Amino acid sequence: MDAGMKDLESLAVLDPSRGREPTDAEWTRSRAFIERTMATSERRPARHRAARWLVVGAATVATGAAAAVIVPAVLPGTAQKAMAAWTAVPTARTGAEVLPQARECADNEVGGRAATVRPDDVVLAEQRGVATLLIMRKSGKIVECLSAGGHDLASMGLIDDGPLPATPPGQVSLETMSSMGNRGSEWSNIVGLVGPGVTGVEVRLDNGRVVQASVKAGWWAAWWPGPEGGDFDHLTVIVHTATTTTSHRPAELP
Amino acid sequence: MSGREERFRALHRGTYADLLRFVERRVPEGEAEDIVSTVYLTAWRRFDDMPSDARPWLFAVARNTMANGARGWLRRRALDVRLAAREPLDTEDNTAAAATRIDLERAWRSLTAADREVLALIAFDGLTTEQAATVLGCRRTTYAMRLTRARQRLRAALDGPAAPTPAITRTEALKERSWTQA
Repeated sequence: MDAGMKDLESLAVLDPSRGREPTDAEWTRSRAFIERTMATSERRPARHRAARWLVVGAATVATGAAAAVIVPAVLPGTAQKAMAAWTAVPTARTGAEVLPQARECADNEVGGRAATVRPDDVVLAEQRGVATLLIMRKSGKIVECLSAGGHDLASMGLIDDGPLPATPPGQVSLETMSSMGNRGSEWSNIVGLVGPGVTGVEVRLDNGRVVQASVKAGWWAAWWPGPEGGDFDHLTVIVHTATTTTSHRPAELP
Repeated sequence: MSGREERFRALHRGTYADLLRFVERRVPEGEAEDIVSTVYLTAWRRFDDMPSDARPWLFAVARNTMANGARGWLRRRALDVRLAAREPLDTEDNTAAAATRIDLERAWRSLTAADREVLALIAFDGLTTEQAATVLGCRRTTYAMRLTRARQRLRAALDGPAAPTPAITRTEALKERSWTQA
């Protein structure tokens, strides 16, 4: 106990587990459980650190769950304008409304260039201020693109196009979470899948800011100014269904 | 045998008792072992991400696991803490201690579940303010402020007008579990 907390020592008499030690049977059961766990459960890659977007010269690379990332052209001030106009609540956009941004996304090298783009290639699109976040099909891949003011900010390959991996009802998965930019002017993104019945997803940063994610077509996604996406466990994902609300630290999400 | 598995076994040896106690303080008997197992499953899957001070990380996972439990009584922002059962009193020498304990219980019950949780992380779980902040997912300064206020309210409750103290007899050796009294 910290020095200066002596007044709390008297509360020890109320502790229901005071002096409690696990029994031999409890130790045996728990040891058996972790042995089974190590034998049968896959470890996840250290996704949250590895997926951090690292600026290398004019380009950006990522490792881990996401395939590749580039920053084709970050013009001076573009990212700053996007962050200044950012909103915690997104506006949903249709594929037709974001066709220019989708074409731009299709034209970068992440996931391979695509010559043609149709509105229904756009799986999810949202607007926050001047920035548009897309999840779209492209050359047999699903990619994420963030753009602002007519310029790509970032793009990331997510998964191969095709049937989405099953996510249990009322639950979400975390496909990738990362940050990019320089210290003091970083921004973060987070993308995952939603199971049936999920009506909304929010991201509550540890500084108290709450970001409403977009949810559509089996995906959820959000971005925000700040470094939390590249840090370990500095946010909480809140999942809503019609009847429940659950909170998850990123490390707990499949 | 891999080094990683051996390190995980060492983690288990070093934290199991504390983690079991942490969970048992907050859920009914019989629920704790399953929750602890879930925490170690998460820990194995995220072993590469785990900070060097693993105990508060494990407690934070346990707290969220409990908060997300399917049972309605666990759906709350502050996870309330049980109280120890009162033991039967055998001698008059114990009377003064019992009266003190009743005062403490009365003061404890007068606090909100959130205050009780903030206090219990230090008083019961033995964490530092830094570690307790990790468990609650807040900044250390935020936790310190909440702790200061909770301690003030506890002191005020202890100094306040005492409720009529019931005579303590063997027949009133209560076996209370207060997690439903947020």
